[in-house]
Amino acid sequence: MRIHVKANFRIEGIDKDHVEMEGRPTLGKVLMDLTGRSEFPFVLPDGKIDPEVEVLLNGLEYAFLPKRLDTELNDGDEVEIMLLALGGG
Amino acid sequence: MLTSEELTRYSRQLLIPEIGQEGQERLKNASVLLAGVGGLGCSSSQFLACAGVGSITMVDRDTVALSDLNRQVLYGQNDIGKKKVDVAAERLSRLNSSVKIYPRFAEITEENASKLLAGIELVMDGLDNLQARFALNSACVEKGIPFIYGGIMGLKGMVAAIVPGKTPCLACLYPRIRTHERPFPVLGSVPAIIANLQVIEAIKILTGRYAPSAGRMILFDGGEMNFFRLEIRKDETCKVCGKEMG
Repeated sequence: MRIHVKANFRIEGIDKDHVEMEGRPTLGKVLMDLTGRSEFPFVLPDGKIDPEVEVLLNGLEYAFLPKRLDTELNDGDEVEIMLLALGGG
Repeated sequence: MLTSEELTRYSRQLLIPEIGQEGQERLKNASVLLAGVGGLGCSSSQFLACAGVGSITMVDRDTVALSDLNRQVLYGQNDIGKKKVDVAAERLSRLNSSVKIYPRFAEITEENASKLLAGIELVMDGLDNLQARFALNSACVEKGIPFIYGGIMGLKGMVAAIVPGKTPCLACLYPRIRTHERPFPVLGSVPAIIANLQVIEAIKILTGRYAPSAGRMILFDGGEMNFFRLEIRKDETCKVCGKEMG
């Protein structure tokens, strides 16, 4: 299954903007795979997403998905992982 | 040429091979725009002035409030209600009277960003909103001026040197305006850390050296005492730098 991945920082192995996954993985499983390839562990040890990162599935923030990180993905889905801007002041 | 007083004043940093007398002369002739004199700008402006950056233009739209004083170290209780740029200019002049300080009490917008950059070599980001950052980013890309982005929240912070023509720009990094709600939680020492990382990168660029944060995002997590260095990605469809990057 091909999952398209969009991020504003480099994640090892997604230079072609997608990953191939076996079976029908959940969003959480895909994120765990991607965090292991990144220099920045955006999935925290407790399995939660770093609050400085926004995760969207097909343009929808994951927190609004009924099954959140347990949502099963479909071939061709797009997962977006974006570092949020911090403030100043 | 450096004067004998300057040779003494900057003697410790003249010993740094990457700066030396040639680098110090470049700093003396440099013009920096400091966008925002809040938590980041208060710290970065002091070290830019101490380092001998010749001209600092400061732009800020705010007055000093009591809730600023845990982190905005140029201001004191007696400054509440005063324009930040005016107080900051006075304090910085006391730190280094040879630095030319130009305070501008103004909001940075798409309309005035390009004009503010006249004669400027480098922009230090100390802004508290993304709209103004994007306005400056676009103007910097257009004019080929490096922009040192800095951000903070709680115990975390980030720095990236954006060098037009060489690195992705801020609009590549943040294709849409999405940030945390205000007011931000901030521990005062965190903006000081981030601002000083910005200053280190700025001084390297101003002295003609390589800035390792160019094209990268340096993340600081003060909770875990970790630094991360991420390669940031150019957005091929970026409306700001897409064509400029070829």
